[in-house]
Amino acid sequence: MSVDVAGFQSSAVFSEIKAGIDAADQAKKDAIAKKAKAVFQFDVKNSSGTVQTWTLNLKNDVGVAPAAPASKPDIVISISDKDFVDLAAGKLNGQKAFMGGKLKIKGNMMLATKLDAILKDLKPKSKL
Amino acid sequence: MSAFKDLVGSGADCSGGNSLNQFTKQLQQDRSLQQDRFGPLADREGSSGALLRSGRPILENDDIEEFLQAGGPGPSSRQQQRGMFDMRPMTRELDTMLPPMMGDQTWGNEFSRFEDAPQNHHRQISGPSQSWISEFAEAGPESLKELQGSPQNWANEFQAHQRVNEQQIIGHPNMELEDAFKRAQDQASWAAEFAKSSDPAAWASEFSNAEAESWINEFKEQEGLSVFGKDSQEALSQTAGMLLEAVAGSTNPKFQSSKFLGFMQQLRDQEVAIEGNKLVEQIGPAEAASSWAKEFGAGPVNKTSWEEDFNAQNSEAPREANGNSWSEEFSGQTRGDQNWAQEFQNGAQMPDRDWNQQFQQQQQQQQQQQARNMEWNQEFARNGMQQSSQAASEAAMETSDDMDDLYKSAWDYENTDFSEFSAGRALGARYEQYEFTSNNPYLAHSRPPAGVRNLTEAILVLEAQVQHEPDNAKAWYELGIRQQENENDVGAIAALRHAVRQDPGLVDSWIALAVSLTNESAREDAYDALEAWIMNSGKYASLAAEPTSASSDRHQHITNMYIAAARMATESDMDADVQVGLGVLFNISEEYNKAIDCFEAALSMRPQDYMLWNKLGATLANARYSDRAMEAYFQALEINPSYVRARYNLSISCIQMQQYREAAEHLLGALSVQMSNINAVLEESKGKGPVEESDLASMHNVQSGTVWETLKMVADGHLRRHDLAEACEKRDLDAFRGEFDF
Repeated sequence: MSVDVAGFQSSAVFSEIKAGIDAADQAKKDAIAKKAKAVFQFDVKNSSGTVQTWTLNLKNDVGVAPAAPASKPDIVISISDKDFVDLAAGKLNGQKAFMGGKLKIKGNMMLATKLDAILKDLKPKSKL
Repeated sequence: MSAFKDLVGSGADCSGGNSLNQFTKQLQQDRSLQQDRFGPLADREGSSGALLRSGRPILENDDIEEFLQAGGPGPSSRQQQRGMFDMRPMTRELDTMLPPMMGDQTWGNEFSRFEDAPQNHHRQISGPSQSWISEFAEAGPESLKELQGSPQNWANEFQAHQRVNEQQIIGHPNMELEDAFKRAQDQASWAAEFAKSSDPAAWASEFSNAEAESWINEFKEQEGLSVFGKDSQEALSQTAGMLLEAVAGSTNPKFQSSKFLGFMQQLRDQEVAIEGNKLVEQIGPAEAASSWAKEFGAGPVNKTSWEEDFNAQNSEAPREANGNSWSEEFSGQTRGDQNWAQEFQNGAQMPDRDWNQQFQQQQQQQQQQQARNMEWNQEFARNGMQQSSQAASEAAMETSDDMDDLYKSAWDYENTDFSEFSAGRALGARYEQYEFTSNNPYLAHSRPPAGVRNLTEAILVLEAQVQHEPDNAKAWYELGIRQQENENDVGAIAALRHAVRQDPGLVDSWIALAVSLTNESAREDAYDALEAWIMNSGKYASLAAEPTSASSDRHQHITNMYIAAARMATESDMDADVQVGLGVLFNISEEYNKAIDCFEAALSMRPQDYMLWNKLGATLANARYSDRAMEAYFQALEINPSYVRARYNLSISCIQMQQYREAAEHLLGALSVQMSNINAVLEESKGKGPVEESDLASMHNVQSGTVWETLKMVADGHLRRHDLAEACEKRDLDAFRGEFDF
């Protein structure tokens, strides 16, 4: 299933995450789930004010989907479309975004701090 | 997430480093120009630097004029003359340099209060509001006799002389000034006085000889508080204060009123304290008056006293470093051999540095000390992490107490160690057992073909070879290397593990294994491989020390071994492998600039090693030097055009630069290289017969899954071509033909 949603640049980020997850074998997926043990919900608001929800499940059934999670998420992250793209690209510092109110968090805040490392691990990277 | 650590921590690497520290240093440096002449022009507004800052070349005329304005005739001249040695502007400068967090009780303020009430003699101020001046006065009783204890007196003394000479100055300002100056100095300039009085010892050494830590200790006694930085709450409060200070400029109202900021303020003011992972409200705010003392005490606690630092700087500091020293400037202006500044320098045996600047340096020194204290905070964060991860397993975590969360977010941000997540090991059968191509046409050959035409063929030939001779470590190693080249780290890891099982002494396998493991984020296994390389390289085996178990120490431990290995070689016979090992290590620790240096050094030994060019490129890409990364990849491809990994990496750099179409084309290029290789192999083995779908499927292992996945990602997420994404699922390269150039 595609995670692409029209009108959202963040789609690309979720596609990258999805590619990372799809490329991982079950052992790696299990390792990710074991470490993160959480369901992330992203409420992304684009420039026209539409809010789209993505779910990054790093708990029981590792995967990403352009919909709200079936069960209660461990953390809900609200962010604008552009900020999310910048965040994922490393242009925006997660902590500054949080302190500046660009990134709002409901739930277990500690998980947000893990997000960077998780994204980094899942996104394709340059190989030595 | 390294964000928080980067922000406040003491980044030691050459990259971005500590942004807060840099920011505060920036603020300080801005002041430095104001201090360059602490005399007449360093007025209340501190606009003295305007001249320099305007970027206008400083002409000699300007200097003279400036000097004349300062010391020349006119009704205001006297005051300005007096200002020449007036410490007040400097104290104000100091005031601004000191972190605002210390509020009214700053050292600078104490000092200036003393200055503002010069009628108070040092005896009076030796009470709670002790200043260094009084301390100095007590410390150097010999000089005290003549100097009467306070710089104010020096200033007065000088002023008196200036008054005497004033008439002459009015008459011939240009000539007389210098003259007056000389005379004043010859008669009773404080510098000379001081030089004479202070034995052979320099002002600075006098200062430091005077019971090095005495005034800190005195403070300690007076305040009846433990001033030393071990006090955890103190350090916490300090850090919070620094953070607040650094973000004070933010105009975002949301931010300014944010909970986090409020929390930090509370921490700073010590209204709350952290015990374990609980917040405890303090009974009454800590005495503000003690804050600077602690601040100060906490700084130099690491063996070196403030004064010692001061002295050390004096003796070491090179003259050139001192671009805007007022003493130099001054001597340039007066052009007198005997200007007081120089006299002062000679007399006091001080290097050619103005002490104003040294004060500034001390401030920086203090900052460094503070930064050292930050280490504690990191420690704290680490502990906090442990606690919180314990807590995480309990249900208690779910009920998120606000403060608890804030505390966690505050401290976990500082904890960059997400190694827990990415450390991992390359576990699972596919990393252990090499997955052979099911329908390998070369398996039937008893001997490998004479010439290998392409990468795919090379892999198939090697696969056949190791199936015939499973104990052939060299063949396994070759296979592993070819799989790396083919952008298949899983296959490479499996093959290389076979190689080292057969022959641990084939050390090249260990390095190659470390590379692939690093790519697969299997950090711990990569460390194992790097350590094994050292232990199995006869030359360096002696360097292998006791292994450490803690993963945090492990990186340092192994890095130290490699650095020791690198030091065993001279410049000319440098071991490129050691440099590669270090490069891999610094990639693991994300010290990319260091890694770049290592790979460049290795390349100087092996300029034709395309895989090394790729390593350099990947490191550059990780460091976000996308342009340079691409140059390195092109170098690699120039040497070996069918180098799949370099093409794959090129596409990653294109994605980083948001050039998705180019990214897709590079990926397609990599796939078409693989595909044409496969076709060539199949065609030959099938005797020019048609290549079937099933034949291609059997070649699964010589294709790169990573490349297909990445292409799918680009098609789907970036190019928004779901049809092409589906084509990727089917591994249908033809769907892209015509539309893309590859």
